[in-house]
Amino acid sequence: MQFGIVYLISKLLGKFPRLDIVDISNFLGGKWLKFTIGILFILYFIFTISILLRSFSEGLKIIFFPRTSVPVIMLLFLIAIVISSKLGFQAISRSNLFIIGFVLFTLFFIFFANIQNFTFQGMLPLLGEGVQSTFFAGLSNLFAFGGISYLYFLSPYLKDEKSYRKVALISTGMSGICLLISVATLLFLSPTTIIQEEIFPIYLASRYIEFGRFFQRLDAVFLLIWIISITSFLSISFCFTTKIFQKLFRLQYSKWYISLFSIIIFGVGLLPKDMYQIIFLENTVYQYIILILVLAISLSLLVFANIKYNKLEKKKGVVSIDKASL
Amino acid sequence: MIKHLYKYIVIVIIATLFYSTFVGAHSVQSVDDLAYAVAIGFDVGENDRIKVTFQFTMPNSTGEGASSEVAPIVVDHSEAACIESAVNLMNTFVSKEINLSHCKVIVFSEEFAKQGISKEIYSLMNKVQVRPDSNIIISTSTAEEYIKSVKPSLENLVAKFYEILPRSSEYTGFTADIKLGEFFSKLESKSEEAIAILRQPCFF
Repeated sequence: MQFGIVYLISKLLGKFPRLDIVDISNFLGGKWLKFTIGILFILYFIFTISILLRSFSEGLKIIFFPRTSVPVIMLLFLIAIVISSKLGFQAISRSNLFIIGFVLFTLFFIFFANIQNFTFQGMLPLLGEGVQSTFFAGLSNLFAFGGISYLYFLSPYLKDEKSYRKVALISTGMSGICLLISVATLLFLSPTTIIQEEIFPIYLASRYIEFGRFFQRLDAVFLLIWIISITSFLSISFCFTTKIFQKLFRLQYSKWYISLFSIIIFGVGLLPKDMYQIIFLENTVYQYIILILVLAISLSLLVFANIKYNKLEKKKGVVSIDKASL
Repeated sequence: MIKHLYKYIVIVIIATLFYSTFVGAHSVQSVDDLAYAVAIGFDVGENDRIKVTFQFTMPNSTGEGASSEVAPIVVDHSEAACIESAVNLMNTFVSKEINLSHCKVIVFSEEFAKQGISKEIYSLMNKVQVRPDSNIIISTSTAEEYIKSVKPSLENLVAKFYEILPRSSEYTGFTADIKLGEFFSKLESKSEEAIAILRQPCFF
């Protein structure tokens, strides 16, 4: 299903090389659509970064820094994000490439190191609570692949525009493997009711790992890698946010609005009163945002843009979309 | 000049932020300031719902190669409605802050276990300090009696004794190595039953 959606996106974006969804919305509906889509995606990224930042900081506070206030932990992350954002997109993507190896290794390591603690019956019943709940009601679980939203903005940053489909499918495959390994670890290790209640379920899994009496408490190493990977994820999201803003208002210098966005993210991150609100925003609100904005609105926009492109092609023969005019 | 000044100010602010929050000099919490509980026992309380017994060791004696002398052990208890309250209550009595990150065994008296221990297991699993590799023991006597009876003669460190004892299941088969994480998973499982180690007070 997920590969189908990604394939569809890459197919729909195929006619618009080196253009992101903001440019395509400008082609389809002019400035007003460009601004609407751009602002919607900026709000979406701000929401994602803020809630993840707050949720992760709360988790860190509970586990490691019970006496440190959450805003201070959030600020430290924000400093890292702002610095990386000032270094530019290329620096962030290169560091991401370096970090993804560690993250994949950690997930596989947690899975294989926990095999002795696994209860494989945890995966039963295989099809969940029936066809209805698994295949139809379960469609909303597609929000787990919220990372698709980044594919809409990736095209202009690729050196080779033809490799977009390959990049999109490989990255979706990799995130699918990560998700599968994580879910399998949790399903085999703990009852599902517990997984839903935990703050860092994978952290819980890492706490089970021990090799004899000498090699114990690997959770600290795990958290270190996780902190780096979260920072890297937040940096890339933050970078996309500022790039969209830059594109919308045709700005040349990025210094002032990078600081502005970091303050906004810090403020939004502090809005939820407690963990209950954060979990509600992460699980329920985020789910609807992904389904409505990332899947429904963006996909229909791409479909309509393709229809318009084909109509123009029939009329004029060749359609040239000048990026500078957008 | 002003540009450089701005940079220096930012660096100083960041350094101060790091120092004040993570160095921890302002709220000293070194190993010497913590009371490490190596065992916790649960009994039916006389005045309240549960009686929680803590067994502490001196922090400087927990290292394996510390000394050849037997490490001093302190046992104390408090009564409360739940574990959290019991730990808080105990924290007001002892001079150091109680830390459960080195807790090796969790002992329930048989009488207490018969009433159901799922509430306590949930609370323990939710405590970040308690490790899922702590052993679960059901004592035929009271948990306090069991903990007080543990005076290993072949081992200097009680923490090491607790760690090694259940591993005898690997070569004897008369006992089992049941850990908190495993017990908790089975407690919630629809296909398995949770079991624990049954023990009598031991006089070694």
